[in-house]
Amino acid sequence: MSHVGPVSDHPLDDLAAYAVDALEPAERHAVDDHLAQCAACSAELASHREALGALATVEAPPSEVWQDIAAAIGAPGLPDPHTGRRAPAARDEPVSSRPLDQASEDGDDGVAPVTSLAGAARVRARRPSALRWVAAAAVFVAVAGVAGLVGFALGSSSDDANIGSLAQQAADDPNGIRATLADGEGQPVARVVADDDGAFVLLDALEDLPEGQAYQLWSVGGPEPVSLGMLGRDGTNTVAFRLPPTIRELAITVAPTSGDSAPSGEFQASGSVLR
Amino acid sequence: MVRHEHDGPGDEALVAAVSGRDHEALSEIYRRYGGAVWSVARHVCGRAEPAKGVCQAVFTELWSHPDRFDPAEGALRAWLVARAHARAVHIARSQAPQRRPDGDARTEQTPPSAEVEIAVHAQALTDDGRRAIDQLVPGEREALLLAYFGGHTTSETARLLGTLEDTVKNHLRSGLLNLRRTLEVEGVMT
Repeated sequence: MSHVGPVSDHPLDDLAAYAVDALEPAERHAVDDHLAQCAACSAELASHREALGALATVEAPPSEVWQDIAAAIGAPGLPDPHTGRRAPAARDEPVSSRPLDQASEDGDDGVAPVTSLAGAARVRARRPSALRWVAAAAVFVAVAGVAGLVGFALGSSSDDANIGSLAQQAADDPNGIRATLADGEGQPVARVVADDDGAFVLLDALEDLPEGQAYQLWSVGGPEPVSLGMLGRDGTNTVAFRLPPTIRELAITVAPTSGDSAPSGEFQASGSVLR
Repeated sequence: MVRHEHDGPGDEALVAAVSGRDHEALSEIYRRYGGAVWSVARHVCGRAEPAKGVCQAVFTELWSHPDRFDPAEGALRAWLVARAHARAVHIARSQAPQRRPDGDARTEQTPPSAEVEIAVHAQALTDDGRRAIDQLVPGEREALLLAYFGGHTTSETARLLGTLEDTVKNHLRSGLLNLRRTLEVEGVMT
């Protein structure tokens, strides 16, 4: 475990950047390799993380976070440790096993139910998401007298109908539906976002597949997996799809281009839908 | 280690109980550290919805893979917060590729100045954290707030601050070491 080289061999500056997740992937992998054989740097990383972990204020998470955790670990009735409240009964309902075509015939398929969840005050700015909050909070900063304010140009209403911009709008919708799909290592590799314009899968970090194969999206929360559609073979792609209102658990598999009738092979990514 | 007083079993015992599929043990860990995880995720993501997903993923990961937490590599709170931060940064970057200051013409809005962004991120700090951050030398404070709470890479941080990437990395290291010393002196960490 111990590293035997001189101190100058330790990537100490990169290690600090690693601790705050600020390295590019190639640099991060180099630090990973070093950490695997250097106890001294592992100890310094732990020290950095201890200090960082003490910085942020502590706020109770929204109750739905625990509800989803409790459901995911198979204990949906376990009360929220921050409030003592149990999940509403509606959140414990099993996912419907209705096939998608039946849901469509009932008129409650895809985007319509999403509309009822969407608030009236949808902001259609295509502002970078993290910076939107920064801009809002800047009002406070301005009042506090911080110098150097610049103007924040609100994004104009978008009439750009391409899938990418619609997906971005759905991602920015504070009342939209969300799912983060993680790989077997727990790393987020895809997202599902939905608003009243539709539902979209955003593949963020999957591998491109060879000819003849494609990613396939599944609902896996019910008694039988149900295919929600093919996603192509591009590992960083955005695809529109229908998200029936009862869907709670999603997974992505690799399938032949024509699609599988049932999932084959391991899940490339999976996650829960948060409504 | 950060000072925290908790009644009942220690963190390592709770993680061991999670390995034995003890729901109550995970509930207790969430009671202790859910707030810290949530706050970091919320601030770095910038919005509540993805932060909820981050928070959920961190605790379900601990449930599914408790062996990934190694007490020899630091305290449970720091490990959970670090996992949340990594996930939140990934989401923040993937949702906002156009914020990267690479001169890309897709950038449609005027981003906030570094000064404003730094001031906003400082709002995420505890009183102890703010006092410790404010004692850092010029350059360290700015680099830490932009990189950690802003989720910026070192190259982005360097451009925002008008300095060199190596300088940012050096400031991050010296800043983290000085931060720890101050937190120890103030009794926040042992």
